[in-house]
Amino acid sequence: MRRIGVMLMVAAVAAAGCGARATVPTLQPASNTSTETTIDEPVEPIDPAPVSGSTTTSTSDAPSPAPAEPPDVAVDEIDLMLLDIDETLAELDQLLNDAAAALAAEEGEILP
Amino acid sequence: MMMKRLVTAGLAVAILAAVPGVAVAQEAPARPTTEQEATRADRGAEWVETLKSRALEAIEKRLVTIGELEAAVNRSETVAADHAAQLLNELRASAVGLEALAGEIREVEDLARLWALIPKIFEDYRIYAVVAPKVHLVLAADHASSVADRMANVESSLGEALDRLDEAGFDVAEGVKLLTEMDRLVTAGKEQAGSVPDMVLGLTPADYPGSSETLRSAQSVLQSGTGDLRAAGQTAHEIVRFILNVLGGDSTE
Repeated sequence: MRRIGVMLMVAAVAAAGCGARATVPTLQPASNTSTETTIDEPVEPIDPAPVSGSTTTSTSDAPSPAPAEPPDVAVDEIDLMLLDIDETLAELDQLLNDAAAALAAEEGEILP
Repeated sequence: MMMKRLVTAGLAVAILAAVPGVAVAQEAPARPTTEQEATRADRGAEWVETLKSRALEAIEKRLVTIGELEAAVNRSETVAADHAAQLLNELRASAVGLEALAGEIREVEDLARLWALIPKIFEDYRIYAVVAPKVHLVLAADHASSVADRMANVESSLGEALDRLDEAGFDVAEGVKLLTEMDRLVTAGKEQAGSVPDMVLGLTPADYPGSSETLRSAQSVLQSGTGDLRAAGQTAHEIVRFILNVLGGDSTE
């Protein structure tokens, strides 16, 4: 009877150990979640981290979440507008150079 | 007494011998030979042809410049329609006038008439002293105004982005400060660029040489306005970097 009791305790401890081991792999990916790796990880989303909707590249190692969901800001569009403005500023520089050259020009002389 | 007479006669002979020579020497230019006259006429005709050739070259050079200026106005996507119309009208009138002047110069034969026509190439048109700088300054100023308008659009988009971040609970004080500075620069740049056409469009060849000072002042105003717009562009880039930092979690509360 005592042997049966000891065997049951060993079995219970073993079962508890197996359960603990089974949970460890699921925690590891969650703690290292990043936008680059979560797509390929076939892990249950136990505690899904908030995913940023922005176009930023580095979101790893961000333990403290933002105070609110980041709004949808069209930074790419603004970047394109700025590139366009940079080009028009370069054109403006050329026009200013043309004007400076015109101001430096003289009527010239005909009479020898 | 006899001796005295001889001396007087000798002096008289000497004077008579000398005077005819002087007289001939003085009369020579007044009575040229036909050969000399022909040479002088040839030289005069040659001189007229040289002057005519140089004058026509100068007109042709100006007509080419006018063509280039017309092309620049037509090519511009940012010049204001009324400015373009005024500049093109003035350029066409200058071209027509210079072509008519070239016709007169081709036909003239006497030096005095040619001498009177040549200064008109400069004084009546001032293509290089007034017209060309005026056209280039107006084109550049209108382009700068267009850049200012585009920057105002970017400013608006950046303002909306900062508003959204603010509503979402992010600290955007630094971004708003930058946006205020950008607005100041865009406004200043637009005002300065916008004042340039009014400064120079009314200039005519008759305003020369005072026009040169006005043109240089306009150029200075435009350079200052362009500097403001360039600084506004840099500030816009800073605001974008600020927003990216906020979205990346670096600048959140």
